[in-house]
Amino acid sequence: MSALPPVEQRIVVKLAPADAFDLFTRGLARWWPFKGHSCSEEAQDVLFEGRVGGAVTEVGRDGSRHTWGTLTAWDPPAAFAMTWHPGQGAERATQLAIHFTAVAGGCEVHLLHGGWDVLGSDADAMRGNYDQGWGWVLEHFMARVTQEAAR
Amino acid sequence: MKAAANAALAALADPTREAIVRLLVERERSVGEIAEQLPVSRPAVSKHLRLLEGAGLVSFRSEGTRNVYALQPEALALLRDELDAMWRRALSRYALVANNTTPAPKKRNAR
Repeated sequence: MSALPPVEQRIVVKLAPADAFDLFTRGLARWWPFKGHSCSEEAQDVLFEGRVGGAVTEVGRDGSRHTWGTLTAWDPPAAFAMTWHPGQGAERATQLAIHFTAVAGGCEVHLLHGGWDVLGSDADAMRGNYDQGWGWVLEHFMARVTQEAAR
Repeated sequence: MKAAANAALAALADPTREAIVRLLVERERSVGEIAEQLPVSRPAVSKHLRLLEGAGLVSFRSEGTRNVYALQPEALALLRDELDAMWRRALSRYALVANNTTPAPKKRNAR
């Protein structure tokens, strides 16, 4: 069975790359659809520790903290990349990369979310790439279904 | 497509059915093999399998007297599409906010 292609999306917004980058990261709470896409009961903010190796952490209104992933690239205003495992152990991380490129009238935001079939460093537990892809995706969606049911 | 994805997600919201799907991720199995691995009766397993089949997540073929169940490869793609939809929703909200944000004062001619 073949690996799944990454999710890829592009949009153009009327902001300079620096502002677009800032809104995407520091201003994430202004637009992120927390309803159905958060770890805590009620999310308040998502903090980017702006450096390679820095954490991306959701902070709930109750003060709880939940790791979304770890930054693997931090290159404002051009790009950032991170492991992505909200509500999951890091061993189930997929890979997210966002690029911000100046275009006429604003900035193109290019999103790539892939690595569905990679388990990361926990190679011993790997039965096969494909299986791990399934595991991650299923657990991700289980978490989502649970959240949506709890609404 | 949307309805199909919802059916798949609803089917997976049950822990027993999720466990069945996990077993089938490894390889195809007969009803009996699945029942051996789970703390539920064989008729219950059959019932869950019918539901999973209805949701498009698994398919079966008859081998003599036993039914062998396998995951539908399309099911994973279905779930990936749901993630795709999540990013589309998120990015459209991002764009809405971005396009209604007063840009910081232009610094283009500052130096």
